[in-house]
Amino acid sequence: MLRSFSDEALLALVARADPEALGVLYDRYASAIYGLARRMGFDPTTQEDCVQEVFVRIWNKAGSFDPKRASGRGWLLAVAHHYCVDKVRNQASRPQALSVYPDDDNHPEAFDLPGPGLDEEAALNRVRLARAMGFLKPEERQVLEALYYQGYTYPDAAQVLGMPLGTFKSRVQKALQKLREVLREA
Amino acid sequence: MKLEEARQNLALYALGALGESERQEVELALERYPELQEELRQLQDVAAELSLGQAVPPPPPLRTRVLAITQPKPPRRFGWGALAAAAAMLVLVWGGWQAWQWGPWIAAFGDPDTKVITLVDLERKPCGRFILRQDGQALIWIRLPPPPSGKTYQLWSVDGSTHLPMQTFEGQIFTFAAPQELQAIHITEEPDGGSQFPSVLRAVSN
Repeated sequence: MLRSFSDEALLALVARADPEALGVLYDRYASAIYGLARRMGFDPTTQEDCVQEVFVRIWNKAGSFDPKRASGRGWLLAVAHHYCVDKVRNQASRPQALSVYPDDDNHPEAFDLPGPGLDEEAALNRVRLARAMGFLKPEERQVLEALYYQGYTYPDAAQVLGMPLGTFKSRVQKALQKLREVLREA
Repeated sequence: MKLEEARQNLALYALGALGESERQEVELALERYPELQEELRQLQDVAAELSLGQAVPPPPPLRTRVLAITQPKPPRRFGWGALAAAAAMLVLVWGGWQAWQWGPWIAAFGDPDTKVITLVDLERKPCGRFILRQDGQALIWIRLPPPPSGKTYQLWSVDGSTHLPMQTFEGQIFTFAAPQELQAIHITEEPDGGSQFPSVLRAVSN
């Protein structure tokens, strides 16, 4: 029955310590979290640890979710991303993030086709994002890559990419706005 | 942080690219300029797509491992030392003249059939204890902020999905006779005088 509930309703139930609701959220988002950890370059054991720790946080912090401030999906995946970013920043040796670009031959596995375990919706999400990223200029993809998948703070990313801070910030804004528009039309 | 500066930082916030102090500044600005919240919500949804578009199914056994976190922990066994200290503290706090009132409770602490259950708030942080004696007498000690004006806290006996209204209460410690069907308790915030149906949940038995 809970499978038809919205993310927001499930989070309200998780805040009341409902294990079944957490199970439904796991089925909806574990693939995205696992895939994010993989994309950020963690080894398979750490990828699993990331999923586990993120769901511990969701179980413990669901009471702080405010549906007026964020969508359930946005909140859940922000929790996941914050966890992975903190982990990247705390590692002595920064993991090498995989590449998202289809024309990048260095890490072909980063853009592999959906495997047999990937459900239809997840497969569509992959294709949709890859296409949307294709509409961005290389330098726009580059800033999103450095911030979201490599986990740099923006001053560090600007330094790594050799850009003045002001230019970097406005490029990030433009890139995210453009991605929003492209995804909306997709 | 001014409105325009905060707006310029929203994309960086949504991408998790701010340091801790800047993150807090943006959060303060969001309180001050609520009009930014919808903008942030949309940017966070775009950022979520950057994760959704990477989905890869995890190994199936991981699901069982992850969901094990929802299993209740085994009841904590109290050592005699802790029980004696708690009993002594009760006596000291409430004064000698009240000690007779708590005598049965002090004895109950040594009874292995006495149930001691942790109460947790909505963030699942422990906020009190529910102690149930074998004879059905119950004691609650709970630490909650004072209820807002015109509101009170109310106790509910929970039997499956049914909430049975019980007493309203003030203060941190009180006793009551537990109904036989009691399986769990909830504590809610209600209008003065209490309610027939629960309104705002504040604490539950773990």
